[in-house]
Amino acid sequence: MRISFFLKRAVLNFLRNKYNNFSSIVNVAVVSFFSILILFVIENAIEFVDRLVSENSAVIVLKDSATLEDIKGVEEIVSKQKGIERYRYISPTHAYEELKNAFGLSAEVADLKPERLLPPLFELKFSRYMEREDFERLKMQLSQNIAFQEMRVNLDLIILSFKFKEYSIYFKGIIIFIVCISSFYILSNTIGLNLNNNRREEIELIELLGGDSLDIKIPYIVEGIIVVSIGFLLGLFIAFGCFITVLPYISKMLHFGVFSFTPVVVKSIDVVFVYLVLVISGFFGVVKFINRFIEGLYEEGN
Amino acid sequence: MIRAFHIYKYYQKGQVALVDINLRIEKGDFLFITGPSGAGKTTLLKLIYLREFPSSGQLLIEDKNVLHLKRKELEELRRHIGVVFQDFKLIPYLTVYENVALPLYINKEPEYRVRQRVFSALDYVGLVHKTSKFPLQLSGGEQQRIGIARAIVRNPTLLVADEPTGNLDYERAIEIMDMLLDMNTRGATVIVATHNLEIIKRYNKNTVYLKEGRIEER
Repeated sequence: MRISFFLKRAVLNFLRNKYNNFSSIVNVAVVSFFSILILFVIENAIEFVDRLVSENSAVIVLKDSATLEDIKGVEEIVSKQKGIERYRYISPTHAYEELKNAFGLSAEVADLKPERLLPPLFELKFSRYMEREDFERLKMQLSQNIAFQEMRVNLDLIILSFKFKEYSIYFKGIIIFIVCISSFYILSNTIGLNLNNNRREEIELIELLGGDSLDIKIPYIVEGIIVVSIGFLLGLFIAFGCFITVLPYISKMLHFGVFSFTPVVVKSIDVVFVYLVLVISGFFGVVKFINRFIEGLYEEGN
Repeated sequence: MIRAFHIYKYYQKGQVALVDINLRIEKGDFLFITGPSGAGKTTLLKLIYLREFPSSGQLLIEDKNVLHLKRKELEELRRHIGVVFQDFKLIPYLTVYENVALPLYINKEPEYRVRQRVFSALDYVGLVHKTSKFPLQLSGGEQQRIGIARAIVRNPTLLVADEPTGNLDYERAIEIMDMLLDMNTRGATVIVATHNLEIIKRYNKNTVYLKEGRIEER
């Protein structure tokens, strides 16, 4: 009952200050809209690059002199490696048979053995979860194997993917930082504006009745959460709408292909994360303001 | 109950509100504090109901030095004090019931006890039929009775009233004063600040006269 009483106070106060709160809701919605939209675009770009990488395959070429033991050694490295979806060993004989079937080549004419014509090799297919560390470890372990000759891979694409992932973390960090600061100050200012004379007296009264810190802050914290939640849902709704309608429309209009085959990925974890950051930093914004206000009550009096 | 030793109160602007106040109020006393406007009545009451603190001197309430209280102790002590204000200080968007229940919610009392005590307090002030009204739907006298119900709902050991009759006509003022006197006969220590000499004369209780922040001997 006590909780419902304090919640009721929060809701009533929210409604009594609806104009201030509405402007804050719009501010939170704008911050949410841009942050979610940018995060959606980043996630999709990562997804796009990951798919390109996962379509890419690498070939590990071994020396002609590689023994069965060397080949087993390489297979052990490859099989234990993270970020490799699948691999297969292609022996010279097997490769020769395939070539022969495909092109009608015949080594017997030149009296050559298949292993002198083709080196033993492994064909790898990377998974989309291949990280830079995994790739570097694979290269290092292979280079230590005496049978290893070279790895043929589209390095540019892989390096681009790694760089992109690294930069996307910084981008996300910047977005979250902006969300954090915005929420803190939006809510701090909202509560500041909402603290009209009646509510100042209310805080003073609750203090005089022996109310603790929570008795004073809960209604304001709840009010802040209401503002953040409505603003966030509004921003999310518009961002999601934009993402599934406006972006494909723009790409169609501009004939800008990169948008058209960008897969639509909505990572709910990002959305939840933005909401949590909004709530947590908003919470601190409210608490900081109320603390300052309570301190001010005593400074005025003394 | 209350001991004040050489209390001084200054404000930041250099204004002196109280000068060398010495007081001894025993448990169960009824005391008027009077004096002209600006004499320091409200400041002295604010020190007693722990809204402000002395600039120097020692103030002991229930044997606790208010200057040495920790936050939790301060909250606990405030819960033993009922305060009645001249301007009532009712929360306008809460019903009469909720306004009176507020101190009990702060005390974290269970709902059945809240209900029991709120109805008992409202019955005492004769407003049990107005539980669902909002303060602004009531007259000044009724609002002050709600203020009293809120102050007594926790059975405080100390009841402090700052000009409780200031906004009321004589008849309503007598009603309110009778209630405060009745609370005193039930064991509460009552301190009333008023500039209404007629009321002081009528009730013939101990009185402290303040002038320019000092206690004046009469």
